[in-house]
Amino acid sequence: MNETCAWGAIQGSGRDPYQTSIDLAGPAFKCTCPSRKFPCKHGLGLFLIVAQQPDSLTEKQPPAWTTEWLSKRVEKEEKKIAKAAAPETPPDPEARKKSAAAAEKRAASREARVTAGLDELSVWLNDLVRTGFATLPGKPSSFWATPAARLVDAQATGVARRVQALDGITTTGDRWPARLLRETSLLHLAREGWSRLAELPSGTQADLRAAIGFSTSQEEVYAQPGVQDQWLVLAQCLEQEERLRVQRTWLFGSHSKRFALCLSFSAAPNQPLDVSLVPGTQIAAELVFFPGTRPLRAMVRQRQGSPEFSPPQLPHASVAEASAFAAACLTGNPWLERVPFALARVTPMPRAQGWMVRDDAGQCLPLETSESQAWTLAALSGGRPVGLAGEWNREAFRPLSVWAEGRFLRL
Amino acid sequence: MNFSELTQAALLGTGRQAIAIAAGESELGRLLAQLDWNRREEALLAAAALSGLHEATGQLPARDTAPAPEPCAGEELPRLSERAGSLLLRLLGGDFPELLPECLRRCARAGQLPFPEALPALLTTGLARAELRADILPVLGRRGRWLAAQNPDWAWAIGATADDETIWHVGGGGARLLFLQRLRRTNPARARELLTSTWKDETPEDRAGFISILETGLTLEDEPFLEAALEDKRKEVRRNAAALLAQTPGSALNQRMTDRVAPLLKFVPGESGKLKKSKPGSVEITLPGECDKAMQRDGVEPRPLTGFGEKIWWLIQMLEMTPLDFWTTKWNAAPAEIVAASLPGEWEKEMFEAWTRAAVRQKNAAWAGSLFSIAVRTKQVTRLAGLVGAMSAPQRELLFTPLIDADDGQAGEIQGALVHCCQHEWSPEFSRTVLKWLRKITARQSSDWQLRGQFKGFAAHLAVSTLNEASGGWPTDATSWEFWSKGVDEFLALAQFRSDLHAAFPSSNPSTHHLI
Repeated sequence: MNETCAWGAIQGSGRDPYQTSIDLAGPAFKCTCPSRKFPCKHGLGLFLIVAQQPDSLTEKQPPAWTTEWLSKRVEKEEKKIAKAAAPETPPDPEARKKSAAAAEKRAASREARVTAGLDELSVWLNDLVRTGFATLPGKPSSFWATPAARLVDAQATGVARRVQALDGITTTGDRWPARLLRETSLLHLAREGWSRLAELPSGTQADLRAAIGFSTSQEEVYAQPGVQDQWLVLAQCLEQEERLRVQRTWLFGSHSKRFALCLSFSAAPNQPLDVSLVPGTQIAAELVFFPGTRPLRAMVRQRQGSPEFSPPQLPHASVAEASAFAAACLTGNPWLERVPFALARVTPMPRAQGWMVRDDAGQCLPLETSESQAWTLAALSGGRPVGLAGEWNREAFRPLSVWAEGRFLRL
Repeated sequence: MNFSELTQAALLGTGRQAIAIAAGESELGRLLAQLDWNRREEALLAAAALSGLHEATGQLPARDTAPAPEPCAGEELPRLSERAGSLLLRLLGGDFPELLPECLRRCARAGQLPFPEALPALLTTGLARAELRADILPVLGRRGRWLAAQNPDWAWAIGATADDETIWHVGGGGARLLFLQRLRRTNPARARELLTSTWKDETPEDRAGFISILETGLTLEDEPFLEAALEDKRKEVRRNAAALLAQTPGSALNQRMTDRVAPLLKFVPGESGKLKKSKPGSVEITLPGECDKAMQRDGVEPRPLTGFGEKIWWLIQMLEMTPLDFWTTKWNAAPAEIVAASLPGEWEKEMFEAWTRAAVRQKNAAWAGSLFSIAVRTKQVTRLAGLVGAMSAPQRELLFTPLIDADDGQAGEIQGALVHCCQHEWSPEFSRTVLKWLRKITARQSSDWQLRGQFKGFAAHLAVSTLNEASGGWPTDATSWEFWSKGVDEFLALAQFRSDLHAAFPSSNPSTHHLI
């Protein structure tokens, strides 16, 4: 094993030992065994040894079969970037025109469906407001699921998800009417905005299209200018949305001072999520951002070297700074559901109304955590300030990562 | 119109009320004034979007002025290695629950503290499993006690290590029990004094719990207190007091009991004939006539256990409370001799019961050894655990080794039970004996469900120095392997975990930690 890769010859049921290699930067696996599982048990076994008994792998010079595979991987990566940077141009201008026209037609038909779906949503929303929210507690799930399903049919999946999420909102405590009004008013705002999309600034157009559920193609994103930086992987969390697992990874660029959100999706239990961004590490990489007023969502176009652990410079020195950052984000994009916070010095404390974190100036944020996570946080802090990164959801801060006493931990 | 007024309007519904527009002169007011308030619903939603965003972006963070808890002082002891810390977290997460006490003791012996993230789980484990508290307390460190002070659920850990006696007067049940246990070890007289001072105010449950603590450091000085407890309202307290007095050499109860039983048993020594066959000794038994008030006060239960006659049951209980050494001295005979003489005849089952109960209760290793041989010969498997518990570790290993060695891999029932109840950490030699036997059994025996179930647990007792020898030599080609492989895999996984665990601590002389 060396800094970039690990390898091993593993005796399996075959006559010759299998040749197993791991690219530690990925991590990516390669094995000569015939298994259809990926990574195979040989790769995983070797990876376990790397993790638990690294001292037992003393050889530093990789064998030819590992270096060959690694160089092929690098080649492939370069090709992918080159391809993304220079989109293929169909040779025949006539054909190009034709396919462009077809794409335009498809887009127009989808936009028409979205318009119809949002008009229907508007009628439903107006009904809610006319009859009054007071009639809503106790409504069956179908009351919310039906309009959500119609929005899915109308291909406005982002809005559909937000409508579906209203199911159960009436049981979220005393403040549920305010919460429901906030959510419904944002849905109304999306519909209003959509009805005069062309008049909006291009960034807002992009934010709104993303909120409604339009996706931006990878090629389009790769075509954006990149941001090269030393990126600190702040935090990561995994959430289940219907049958989809969504992994959110938050990054912060130490020079650009920009936050970035990388998403990874898995639609099936055996579809692996991206594991290349390890919270607590720093990577040198070029990121490309999805369009928007204050772009957050991004993809890694290219990364250099291997991840490093180093003491972080968390950008929000106080609760006030973090709040101001949230305000700026929401002003740009009112549909934003989560704002990344990276607080350099806060102390977790239990209070009668729930857990909170407090900064040196005495300003505080309520926490959204389980009791056991909160106590873990208190144990790590010992009553002293810690670094915390996580997500602000407009009402509470959900801590995901802690830096305490020179150590990094995921909550 | 601000957001909360809009919320109120939305709650009631625009169908029932007109909306009053108070636009105002602000920037927001001018925007609100542009809305078409004839279309009430849409205007309300648009106003909510505007004013909600306005409030969200202008929101100032709340201020908290309540006093912050005093930060925790730094630790005096070093932390565990990363490796040991992660193994402990796995145990706390529920892997290999049988190894948690061993890991905690290893931490304490190394003088190292767990990482703070393990503390909530440790404190919660101590709340649910009181038997682990004594092992958890030494590894909590200052941070753990600081944390426990903030959560009422974890009060059990507060004061349990303090020398301050105030905990006895102000602490909760769990904390007081731990405190008393600890004090009893260091200053037994003071512990009894404290208990006496509050005795009449304790609840019956607490009295029953506290009195059994006196077993540690029990002396004749405790007699007046225990004699008084014989009159307690709660039966459990009375029985505990009687049992403790019976264990106290020179106590009045001891004398009373001896006076009662001495006339009831008569030993006729055997004759070692020179030419004729030797004649074994015998014990003549006279049953007690009644179970009077005094006997009941001394802890004799008049109603017999199912399967026993009334009078013999009284005798069994009295024998249980009479020091076994009384008989060996009185009759000048070895335990084996007395056992052999008293069993044949009408009361065989009952006398075996009486002597076994006495040996287990009094932890008399010599008697336990003699009775053990009979239990093995007559295959009274259920009796083994108690008798083995009364023996010292070297005595157990000395007795068991030939039994286990002799097994050719066919029988296994007794051996399995023996190994199962041998809960001390085995010596390397004994560990190897057991390993050899297990390999033999798995090669020759096609199935044994009970043994397979116990298999994994054996790995918790292997000597640390033999853990690495466990993995080899298994009969993986035998036809019986299909049955055994799962049990052996679990056994090896546990052995591997223990091996990793001990490797994660600074090495220490292995001879200091076998045969605890």
